[in-house]
Amino acid sequence: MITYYDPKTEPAVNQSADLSKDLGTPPSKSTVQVSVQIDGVNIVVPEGTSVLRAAAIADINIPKLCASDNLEAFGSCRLCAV
Amino acid sequence: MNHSPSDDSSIPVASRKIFVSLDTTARSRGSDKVAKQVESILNSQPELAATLVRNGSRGMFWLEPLLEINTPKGRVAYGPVKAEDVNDIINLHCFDDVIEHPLCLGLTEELPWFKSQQRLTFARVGIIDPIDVDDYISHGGFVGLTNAFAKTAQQIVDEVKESGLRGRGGAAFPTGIKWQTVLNEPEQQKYIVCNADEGDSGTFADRMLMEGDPLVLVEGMIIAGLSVGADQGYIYLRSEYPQAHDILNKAISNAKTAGYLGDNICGTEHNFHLEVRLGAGAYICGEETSLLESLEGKRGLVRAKPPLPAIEGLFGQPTVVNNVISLASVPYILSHGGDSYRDFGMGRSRGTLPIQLAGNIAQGGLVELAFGISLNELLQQYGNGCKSKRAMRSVQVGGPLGAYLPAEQWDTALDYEEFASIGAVLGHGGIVVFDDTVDMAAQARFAMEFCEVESCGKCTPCRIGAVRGVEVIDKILNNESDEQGRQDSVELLHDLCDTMEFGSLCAMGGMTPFPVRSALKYFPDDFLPQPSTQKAQ
Amino acid sequence: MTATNEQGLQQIATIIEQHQTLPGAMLPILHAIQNDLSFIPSNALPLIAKALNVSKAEVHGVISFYHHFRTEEPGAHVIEICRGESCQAMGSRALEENIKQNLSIDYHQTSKDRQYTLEPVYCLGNCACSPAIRIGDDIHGELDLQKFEQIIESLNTYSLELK
Repeated sequence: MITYYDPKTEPAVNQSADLSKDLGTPPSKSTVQVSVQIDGVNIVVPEGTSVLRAAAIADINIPKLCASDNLEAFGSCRLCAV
Repeated sequence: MNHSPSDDSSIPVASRKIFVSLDTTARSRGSDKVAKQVESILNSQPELAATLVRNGSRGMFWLEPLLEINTPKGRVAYGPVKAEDVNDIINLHCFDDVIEHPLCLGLTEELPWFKSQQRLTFARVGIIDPIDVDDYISHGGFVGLTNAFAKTAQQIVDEVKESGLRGRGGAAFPTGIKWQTVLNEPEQQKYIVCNADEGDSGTFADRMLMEGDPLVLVEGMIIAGLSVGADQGYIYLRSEYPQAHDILNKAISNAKTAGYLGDNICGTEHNFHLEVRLGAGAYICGEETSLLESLEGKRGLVRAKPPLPAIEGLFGQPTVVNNVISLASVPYILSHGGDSYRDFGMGRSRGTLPIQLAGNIAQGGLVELAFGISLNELLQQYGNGCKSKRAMRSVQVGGPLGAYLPAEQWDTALDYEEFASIGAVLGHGGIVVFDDTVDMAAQARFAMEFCEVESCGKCTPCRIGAVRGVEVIDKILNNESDEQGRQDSVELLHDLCDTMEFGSLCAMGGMTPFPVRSALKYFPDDFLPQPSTQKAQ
Repeated sequence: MTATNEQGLQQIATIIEQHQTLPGAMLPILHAIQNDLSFIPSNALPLIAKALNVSKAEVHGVISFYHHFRTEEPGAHVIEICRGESCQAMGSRALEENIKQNLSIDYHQTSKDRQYTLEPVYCLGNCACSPAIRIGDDIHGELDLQKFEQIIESLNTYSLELK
């Protein structure tokens, strides 16, 4: 049941994404695109994308501590919740 | 149903039976002493030729220890019996008829409290020998399983969907839909997990069922296994239930011997293995994701959802997590049909709910009824008022995270949606009654204190909010500041409740505000500065 | 945390061997150790950690998370007082204060004669007959101070009979 991550055979989680940016939560696997407007900014993201991630893509800063591309979804600090 | 009246005037010697309960509450009232006395009389008087059966409890706990004797008319009840009464009762009785005795209550099933119930899930509790597979089968056991063998996995799930059964653990999520999600996952290792971490104060239905009819739970879990393609089940039992642990293990071992558990159950190609795992005194492990963490051998930290346990549950595999009563209701649904179960209840709450009357109540115990009965009817007709004979002041439904209800809300019908509409929860059906000596501010403080002790510590609103909650309530009660300061503190408490309700990861922090807010709203006087220690007199 | 002697370590090694292949073996191992030794000794930690391939910190984390597990030897009788709402409705708040005074100990403490350890518990499922306490595997309901004293007295006579 133990699986090892091998960078030579498996693509990075955020292959296409801008690695300089920490989007916080994992991408959605959906192929359906939805358009949303956050703080007046229009963006198109796959269905099922978290608001946190969509906002990060649109360069809108939502404070967060525990959401990171380097960690599995944890959901503990609740700093992002309003 | 089990004792059809016959023309014979006496019970055949071979089937003379005396029943004394081994239920935890019955034992706490002395049923072991009574049973010991029965045994010694039967040993010293072999001519009586009767056997002692330790059964579950009928749920009329104020009458425990209840001693029952089978007669041609049905079982006759005596209670509450003391060890010194036993000799009298047995020697007067002769197993023929209802006799004249001050403790004789008449036929058990004719007692109004018992007769008016609709016992579907608890049909055998208090009747059969809990660990005897043959006794279980002779009272309609394993009929549901036999029917399930003749169905496809999808047909079993459809039957459960048809019944309208919703999770009895508290969240009331439709069981059929949960099963469907697990069934839809590709074939792989899947698990059935029974949540027997019944931590809510005022609830004991799971315990009674596991002590009185554990095989119905076993059957329900096997059916769940068949329906989603799982061959391994775990019962996560709280460590506070030593008696239930013992009985469950014996029942599982007997079911294994009888061929209902293990490989190729009942000669079919299906396998199902079942194991009891003990919790360790953490309330939070009743939350399903925390329970799974605990089963995996970790600290019971709540998991962020998604992924749902139905997709990634125990050891990362698709898992059905259901409450004891939900699983134990399945055999009835499979044996009598989903529509038969659906005929009970009101609105979107279908079937029956085992209701537990607890706290300051004269006739505490378990009442299984279709959804829709009013709280008042339960408190008065079944509960018969406060045990202290004082006036009832407040009722908490649904455990430590349930709202406190004032008298004007007691006409609410027991139904998930009706309760939600008044900002309350039905939860696991536990009702705790308080008389007029209760200090509701102390109860509100306790709700926060409980959250502080039992929080898993993962998310901030619950971990820190509960500590701050206790502090703010103390500040209000200690009367440290002027009226303006007091009002500011009350406002702060409301604000904190909002943060906890909307910001917490799971229901522990999310629902702790329910008892606090309801106490503040309906019993505001208890939070006022107290002129003296005399109150509510 | 208290350590155990060579014999205790031997018992622990046997328990670990019996359970370590179970899926999610941590809690079954801890329960078995506490059942046999009445507590989980500090020198059990490295053994468990090695057997389950986790760090000692993780084992410590699990032990400290669950209220049931203890790392100090308790008194001869562990008395758990229910603090649930149902018991509160029947006067458990006053009762717990009386019991504490009666035994001269607070929660999580053991009496000087090593006879009694007092622990809080949140619901014993005996709510129709509140207030309740648990001593060993026995649950007592509808308790008041007088009944409590009788139970304590019977515990003492019982332990004398054993000697």
